[in-house]
Amino acid sequence: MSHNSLRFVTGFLFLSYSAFACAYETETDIVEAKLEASEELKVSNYRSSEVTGSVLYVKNTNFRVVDNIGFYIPDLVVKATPNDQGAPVVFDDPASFSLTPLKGSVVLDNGKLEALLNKQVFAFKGATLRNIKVKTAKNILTLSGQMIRKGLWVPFVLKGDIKLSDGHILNYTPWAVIVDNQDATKVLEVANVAIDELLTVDALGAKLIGSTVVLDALKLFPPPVLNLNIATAAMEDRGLVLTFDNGSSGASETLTDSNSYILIKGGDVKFMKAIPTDASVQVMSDSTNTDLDFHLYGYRDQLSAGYLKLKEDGKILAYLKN
Amino acid sequence: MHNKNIIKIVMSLLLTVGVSSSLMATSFIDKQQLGLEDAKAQWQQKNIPSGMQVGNLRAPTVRDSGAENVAIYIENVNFDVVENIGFYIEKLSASLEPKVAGQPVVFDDVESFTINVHNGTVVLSPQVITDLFNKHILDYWPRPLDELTVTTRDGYLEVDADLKLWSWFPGIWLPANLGGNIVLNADNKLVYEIDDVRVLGIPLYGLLSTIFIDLDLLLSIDREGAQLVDSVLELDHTAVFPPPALAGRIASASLDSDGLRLVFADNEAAKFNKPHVDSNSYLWMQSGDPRLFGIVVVNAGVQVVAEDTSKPLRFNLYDYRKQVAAGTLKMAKNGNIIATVPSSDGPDYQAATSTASMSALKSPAPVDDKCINKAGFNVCEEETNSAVTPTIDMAVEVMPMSTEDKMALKTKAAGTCFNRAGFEVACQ
Repeated sequence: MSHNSLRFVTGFLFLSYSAFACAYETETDIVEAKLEASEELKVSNYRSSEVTGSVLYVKNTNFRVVDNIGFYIPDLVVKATPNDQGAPVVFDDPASFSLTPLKGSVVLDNGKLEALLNKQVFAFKGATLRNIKVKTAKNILTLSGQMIRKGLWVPFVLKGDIKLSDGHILNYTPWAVIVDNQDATKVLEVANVAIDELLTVDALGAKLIGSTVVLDALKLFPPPVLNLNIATAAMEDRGLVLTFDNGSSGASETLTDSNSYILIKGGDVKFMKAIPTDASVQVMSDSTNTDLDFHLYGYRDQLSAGYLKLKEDGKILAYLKN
Repeated sequence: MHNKNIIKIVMSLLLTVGVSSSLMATSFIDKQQLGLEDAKAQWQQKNIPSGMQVGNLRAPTVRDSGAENVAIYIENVNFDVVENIGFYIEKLSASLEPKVAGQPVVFDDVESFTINVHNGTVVLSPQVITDLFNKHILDYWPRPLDELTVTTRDGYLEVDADLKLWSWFPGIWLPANLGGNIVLNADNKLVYEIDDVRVLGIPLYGLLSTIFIDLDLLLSIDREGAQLVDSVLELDHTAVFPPPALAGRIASASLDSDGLRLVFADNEAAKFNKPHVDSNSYLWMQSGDPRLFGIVVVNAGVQVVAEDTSKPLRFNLYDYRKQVAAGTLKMAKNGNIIATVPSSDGPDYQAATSTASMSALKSPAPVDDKCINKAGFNVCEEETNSAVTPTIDMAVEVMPMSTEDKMALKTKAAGTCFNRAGFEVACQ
């Protein structure tokens, strides 16, 4: 009993004070600091930014869809939109999204035009043109190659300019036609013979109507779908130059200094298994002083041969092997 | 009839030509899509270790693997939750379980998920235990204990600390020493069975026991997961650490010179595949959807390895952004992500006290593999450091007595006086 009394008295005297003095704290400084930092990073949906589509700011980039089919892009703002509302832009599946150039320009140089014509447009069995070579100069597009004529492949040369209509139709009306090394221009003109009377051109995105080759830019390229609303199309020494002016917001600040990049901003994109949400990704070449050579269908090879750097704020720098 | 047949033949020819033309024209995309199907089969392959998926998988989508958690395996890593508070992980299989079903595991929100340990062994070094108490458990004011220093040996843990009874008496900090073993109780809590209490070097445990005063009448610890009950300190491993919360029962707890060793064995069947990169120190997230920075990895394979392979990776959960940002990531074509990072800041065992003085004296020498003990601590630094310490004699003079010596003090006659270090001195 005396023991218990002693315990009780001693305990009571001091516990009463300590109970008053002790302020119970649920978090420590180090935890609080983390939780405060976490608050700034909280979002309503951790799997999605809930924004459909991303904007790509492309500069000085060789953008190849596949093989050498694509564009050299000096400067372009382009919107990438998934076919399914709410889905990320899946870079691995070019058929799952579309690209809409907003502002800027692209260039199809000789090599790209040749690849487009030989490997895409006339790459089917029964094509009436083959081995097409392209030369470009100011206001002149020269196509040479072979055309089928009564079962025989005959060399040809066409020279003319490109005229744009409807924002996506490129009309190529040659003013010089050379067949089998013979200038047929005058003969055709005098005989009032249209070229389509000598040759049939009927491919996806390319038709010969009268003496005009009609190229539909919406159908020429392999996926992703290009929603092209071309402002101007001009033949220049450097190639076929297409410009776009669909009222975009213009340039965006880069994540790191670079003169050649694809900067992906906003929305969600998917690279293999990884989905950067509310994306801020700058894709560059891993070799300095070299323009980025991006190959959409083969980007996984480029990415796996390159590396990524993450900034503390979550922005991603992707250095791809050209 | 004859005409009809001709028309049919012509139509089919035209159709064939049209289809073949169309197919040829889209051959690039066809080839691409075939390759994509193969890749997707690999990316979507389920690699959930046994026992880590309790319910059915959710229907997988482009954003969601359907797994209910992230399966993680860690080997030979100093895993800091924050600062130096964490574990040295020998081997550990765990599931990171989001508190909201269907969410990815958000590394930036440490309160949003639980680390459920399935099996493995972790060690809390004396320095970690010291920091756990100083920076977390006792990080409030007023507090009863201050400036703790913990040392361990086989079956015994000693604490040197400053003490105020009831967190205020007598107004100044009194040097104190505690000693005891740590055992597991029936509630799977770690119980520090204190059997030695000294204040100003004066052994009090016997006295307190004699007059039936338990420690909890003199001290109280106001931290969730740590409770002084009678004269034992109960630590609940599921609550006492900074978040994320731990789950999983401790199968055994033991003390040795490396520290406090905890063994988990709830689900020994959980086996992991070999990680992407061959390494002896790494974290490997094999399945589920972690969200690191703003990146959701769907059906993860994410491996974290150290830049410096000469010693175990030190990973800091709260500071992972800083750490990953200082490193480099690679994405393999099978979708796996390999993060090669510098070890986070933080003293390894024993190096804490030596780093500053060592750096002032000489540049660090390369660490010999033989210097890293099984717990990943650099044991050579202690030897090197002691060799260059000029005040060794003074250090011995003020060095606290060993526990054996302290135990022997219990036999001293009442009224014997001791100095702070526990040596017998003339009473004043």
